[in-house]
Amino acid sequence: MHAFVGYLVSGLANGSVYGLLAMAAILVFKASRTANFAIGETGTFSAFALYGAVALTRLPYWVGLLVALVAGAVVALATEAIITRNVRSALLVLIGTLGISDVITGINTVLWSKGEPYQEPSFPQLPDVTLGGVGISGQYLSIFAAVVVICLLLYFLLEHTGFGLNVRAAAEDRDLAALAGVNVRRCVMVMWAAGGALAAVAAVLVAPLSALNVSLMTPLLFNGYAAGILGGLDRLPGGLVGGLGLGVAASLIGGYLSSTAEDAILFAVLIVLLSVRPNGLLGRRVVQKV
Amino acid sequence: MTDSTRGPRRLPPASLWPVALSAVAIVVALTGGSFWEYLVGLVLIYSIAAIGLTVITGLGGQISLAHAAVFALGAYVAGILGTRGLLPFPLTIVAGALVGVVAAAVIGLVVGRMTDLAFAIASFGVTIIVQRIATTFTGLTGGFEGLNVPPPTWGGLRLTQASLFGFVLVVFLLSCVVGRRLATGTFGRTLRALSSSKVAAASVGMSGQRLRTTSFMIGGSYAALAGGCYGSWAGYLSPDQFGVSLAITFLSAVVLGGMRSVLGTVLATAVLLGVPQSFQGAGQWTLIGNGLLLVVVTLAIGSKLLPQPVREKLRGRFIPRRAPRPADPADVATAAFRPPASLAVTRQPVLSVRDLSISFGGVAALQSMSLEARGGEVLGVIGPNGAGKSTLLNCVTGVYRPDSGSVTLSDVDITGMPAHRVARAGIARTFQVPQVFSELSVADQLVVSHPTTQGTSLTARVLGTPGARRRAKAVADETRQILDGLGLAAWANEAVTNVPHGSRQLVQLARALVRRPQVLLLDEITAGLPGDEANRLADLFGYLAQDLGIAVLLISHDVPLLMRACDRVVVMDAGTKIADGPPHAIRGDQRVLAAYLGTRQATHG
Repeated sequence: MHAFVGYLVSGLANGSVYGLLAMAAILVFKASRTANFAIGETGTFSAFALYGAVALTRLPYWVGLLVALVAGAVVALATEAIITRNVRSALLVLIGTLGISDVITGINTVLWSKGEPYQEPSFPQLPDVTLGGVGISGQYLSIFAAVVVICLLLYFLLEHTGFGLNVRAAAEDRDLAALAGVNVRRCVMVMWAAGGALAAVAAVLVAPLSALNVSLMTPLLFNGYAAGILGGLDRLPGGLVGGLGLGVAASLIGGYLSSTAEDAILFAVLIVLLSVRPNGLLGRRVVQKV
Repeated sequence: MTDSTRGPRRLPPASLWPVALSAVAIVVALTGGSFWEYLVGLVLIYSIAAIGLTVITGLGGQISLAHAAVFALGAYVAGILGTRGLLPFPLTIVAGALVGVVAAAVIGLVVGRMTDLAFAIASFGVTIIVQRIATTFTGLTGGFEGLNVPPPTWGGLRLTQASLFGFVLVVFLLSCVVGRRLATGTFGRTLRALSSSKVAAASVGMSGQRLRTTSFMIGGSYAALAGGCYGSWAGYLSPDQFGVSLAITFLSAVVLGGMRSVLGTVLATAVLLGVPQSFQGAGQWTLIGNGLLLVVVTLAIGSKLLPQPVREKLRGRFIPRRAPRPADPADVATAAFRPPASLAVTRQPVLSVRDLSISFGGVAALQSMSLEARGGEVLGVIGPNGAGKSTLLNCVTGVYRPDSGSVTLSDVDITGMPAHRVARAGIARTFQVPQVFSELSVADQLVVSHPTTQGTSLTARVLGTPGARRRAKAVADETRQILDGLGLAAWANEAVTNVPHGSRQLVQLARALVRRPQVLLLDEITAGLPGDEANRLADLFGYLAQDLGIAVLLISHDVPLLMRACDRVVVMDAGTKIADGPPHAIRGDQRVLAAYLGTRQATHG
């Protein structure tokens, strides 16, 4: 039982990170109907930005976090400006963002590969707690807290502000929103920037748990996308649900079945689920108009 | 092959470049020492796999990261059989290819229902799964320790490195020749049609699922063959050779090569493998260089940054020189086009729609809609916006599945049949917002839609058998005649994206006509056409119905056109039929006036 709760908690923590990446993927998808495969490396870049700001220049953590968020947003905006704005075909956009991903990895490698791995400054930690005899690390608790705050913030911004209404309108139907006077260009940019910032948060949260190196987010990118697709790419909460589900499933498979084949089993389950529900667990069926 | 539909734009003689490339490969391998010999062999092997991905991604539009997995399967099956000495070398590779093809078929079937992006992620998962299997089953694969593949033997003889190189070169040459036939022939164009509009593809009888699976099997056979060669060439297999980065290398080669050029893919593979090897001193910078290359090529192919003429050139599109002339029904009459013999002009009901209902999220778009279309008759369907006219067409043609009711075509129940089977049953249609195959020329829209093209076996098409050539010639002739008849001849070799909206309607009509339909459903076909041209079309519909016995169903807002063209008119409002009769009777019907025409004046317009 103790083992189970342990797997559950660590699964939820990893799943929160997948969920953040999935929400980043969903924002990009809603803004531009395409994928940004550079989002993982964007996160790694931001985690290094935080490290540079806090560990090297001795800025306070919160300033470093801000630097990381801005770095993530700027890189995402650059990706949008270079690739997505200029290329129409979704397929080419996807491959172009893979190119951007390589470029960012290259930059990270040139700047940081000497002296890795680094110890990422840790997110301010909550105290460890014991629940029913099972100890839960404060590190995990701060991840949960951060994810809850981010979700509430996103919910408030999107559902309870005028600008959020504009963004939702632009995501639903660009042309119609533009006709109604919404500045669609700005909404799209905001969604991309938010996606980049979410990737930054994911990286900053996960980096202290392991070692900070140039391939920090590489394996997580596909988990994030898998979570987004599992939840359904058209709704933000779907991303979080998909992420948590994927994280817990991975943790339980790893704990009870096989730790080496964890991701293989996970993707096998994902493929089966997707062939049964092509639009994800929470996704809506879209009727094509012709 | 249908040469009339291809421009004279390929620079080097098409069949010679694989030979030229092979000559270069031999020279480099012979003069460059063992390092270069190994590298050139590797480039040839990776090229074979990448050509396979050109079929899946470049032509079929499916982003597959599972290609590395199929490559690995081919490598491990051939490698394990070779290590145990169970089969002579060539048969180990054939066995690997067979396993690869089966795996690719399963991938194609399972992913059939996913969206493109979901498939990209799922296919990544396939690569992970195969990698983990290779890691886990250490008894067979050696796991992380790796598997040493012994030098290949054939008939008791050990093959030298040089003869292995020769073997790889032969496989490479065959791959290029077959790949080029696939890419430039009707199969490649059919895949491009499917990836540019699934709805239109289904409306001309293409089964998306089947085509996709076929393309995966072809691409998979390439990958597995290459994998089999790889094991013997490298002499060592280990799971970390077959990860996502390999999948991305293949994908990059296809994109850098221009998406659907076999030669381009081969050259891009050489660049991707050769450049990092040549600039090893650059170390960390090679990744940035690789990434920038991908970005630049993506922008070059897909962006609006480059000047229009350059982009058109890159995509092989040209601005038309002549404007089309108006349609002439007499020309269509001379076309080789003949309907099935069984279709006498009988005025028997061909298409019967009974009590059809469908609703979307609580809104009833059709409520108990019924109508009959008879052979040899032009039936008009009118009604105010939102009356359900297009929904009716979509339910009949299998785009939507109706909630209740039935559709029968010549006594065959086709209710709820998938769109491509409805098309094969004998119903052809056009779409209100033209759905054309944006990647193809005007003539190719017809070529890929033609039942004869679709009915010719892929093997015959690739081999270019006399039968296949004869059929292709017949299709090309008929295509030309129909385009002539509709006044589209001047556009035949232009990209359909250069054709103005009104004429795209005619392109859709031409595409529907090559299907030799029993029933022709036309949705706002005259929208965007000048009035005199609309009148000529009205005459054409009369000819199609009376002389060819087709049941023509014409949705239109153009009341004068309907009055002129139709034998009978059905009026729809709020998802159901409110009137049915000869045009003059409909004109005076009070319910119709109230629901649709509004004022009496409109009828004289």
